[in-house]
Amino acid sequence: MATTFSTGLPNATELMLQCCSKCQQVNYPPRELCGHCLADDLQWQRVDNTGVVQSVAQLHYSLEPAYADHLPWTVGSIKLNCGPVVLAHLQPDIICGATVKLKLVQDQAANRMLVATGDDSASEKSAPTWLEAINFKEILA
Amino acid sequence: MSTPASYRGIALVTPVSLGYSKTSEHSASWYIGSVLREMIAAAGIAKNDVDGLAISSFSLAPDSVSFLTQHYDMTLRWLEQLPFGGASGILAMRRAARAVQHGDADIVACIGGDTAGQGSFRDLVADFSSFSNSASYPYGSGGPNTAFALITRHYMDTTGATREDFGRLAVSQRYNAQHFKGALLGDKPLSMQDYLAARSICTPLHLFDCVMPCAGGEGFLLMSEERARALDLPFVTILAADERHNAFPDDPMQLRGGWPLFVEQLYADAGVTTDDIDLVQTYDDYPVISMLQLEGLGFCEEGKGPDYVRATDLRFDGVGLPHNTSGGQLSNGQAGAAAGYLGLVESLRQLTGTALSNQVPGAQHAMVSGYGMINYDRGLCSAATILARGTD
Repeated sequence: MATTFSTGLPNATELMLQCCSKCQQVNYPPRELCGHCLADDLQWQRVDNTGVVQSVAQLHYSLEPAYADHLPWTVGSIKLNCGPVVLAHLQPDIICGATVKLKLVQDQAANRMLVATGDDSASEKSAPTWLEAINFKEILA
Repeated sequence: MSTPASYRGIALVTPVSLGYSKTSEHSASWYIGSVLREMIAAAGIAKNDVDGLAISSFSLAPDSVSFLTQHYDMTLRWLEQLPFGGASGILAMRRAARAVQHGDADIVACIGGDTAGQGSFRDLVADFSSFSNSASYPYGSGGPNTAFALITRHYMDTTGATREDFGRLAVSQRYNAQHFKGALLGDKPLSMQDYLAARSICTPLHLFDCVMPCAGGEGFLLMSEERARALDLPFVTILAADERHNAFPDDPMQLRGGWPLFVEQLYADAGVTTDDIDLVQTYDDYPVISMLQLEGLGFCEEGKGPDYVRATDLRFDGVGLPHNTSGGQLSNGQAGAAAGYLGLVESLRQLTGTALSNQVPGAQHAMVSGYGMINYDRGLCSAATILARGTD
């Protein structure tokens, strides 16, 4: 299966999503056929990593023990300028309507997940620190 | 586009709700079979008179509806298994009605049933769908709370809805549940103060915005009106029904289900208006979704749900519009796919005058709505039906 971040991507921190070689549609969540034209020609490619936060939620409860010591945990829904809406780990101080940049983070087990940070350089540099505590391997096991 | 043919001649009878409990040692097949037994007894028919079975369950695996024929020792000629969560009841009803209209079956048992055990809810949502597994669950692992917290926040930002507005739904439903025997939370009063003081779950959602996963079963028998009369059963008819899947996919956030795509035709087919509706049952996995249904089903304009619930008495014995008259899932618990039957089955009790202490006096017409299947960021299935008390 080449349809999850943990197995389908080359090692990278830039935002890469599945782009259709036939119709250029950017697809997310990962899948095997293009959702627009159904062509079997999806390639992981670098895409415009900017988007606008549509909504923010703060979890005070998680079904996975890995999050227990790190609550509340912030996630956001982000409309990417390249098309899809993604759910991402969100830098906690960001509000609805803000422009953010998406990148992929990777844990020691090479699981990658989407992270949204402010689009200023300070945010981009400091962002991963609030993620370090989490053992993503456990979450994605 | 063509429109649904009439459901004339079809009768819904013998509403059954049973076995609600927080956890259960029983299997889903126990819940489904128990509902079947109670419906057969209520109808005064033999088990072999049932020749069709429509089942919805999240916890039936590795069994399926096919295997259940052997569990219950039945020879059937029509089977359906409908994986539509909160839209299961209405979708089963639509398909079973066509089967009976066209002679593929005479009496169809439509049943939603699920069990619940320690950790079973986590197991369900942690492996719910491929999209959810890769693109939703890993982000905080909140289950459906996360998607609905995001939808709720967006709805609040867009419409000006406050927590009190959602509280009006939860509090009035708890009042209704206090008059419905069997509601899991019916013996626990809920005030607006209690609602607002509840602990955070996934903000903006707090405890009383979230349904409690539980076990339970719901069902009804579907047959010809002629058969229902011959059996001397009080019955309900289908004036109109429709469904949509993955409506408005380009909306970045869900602010509407599929209802606006068919609601006008629904009322036209039924020959009634919102003024004729005596009670409404929305699928209330979270209060915001009930708001979307009140708007999408024409009780108020899009985005005006908050104004509507501020101005409308939603209690079963109030002066406004009785809403979720047995307490909905928020007060009964969410019994898996049975939750997709709850509002429909309650409406059958109301329209046959068998609803005991939460009866809406003289109820003639009910609007029932279904919503389900959070694949990634929104519910994909929307369904609705307008039902009428059968005439003697």
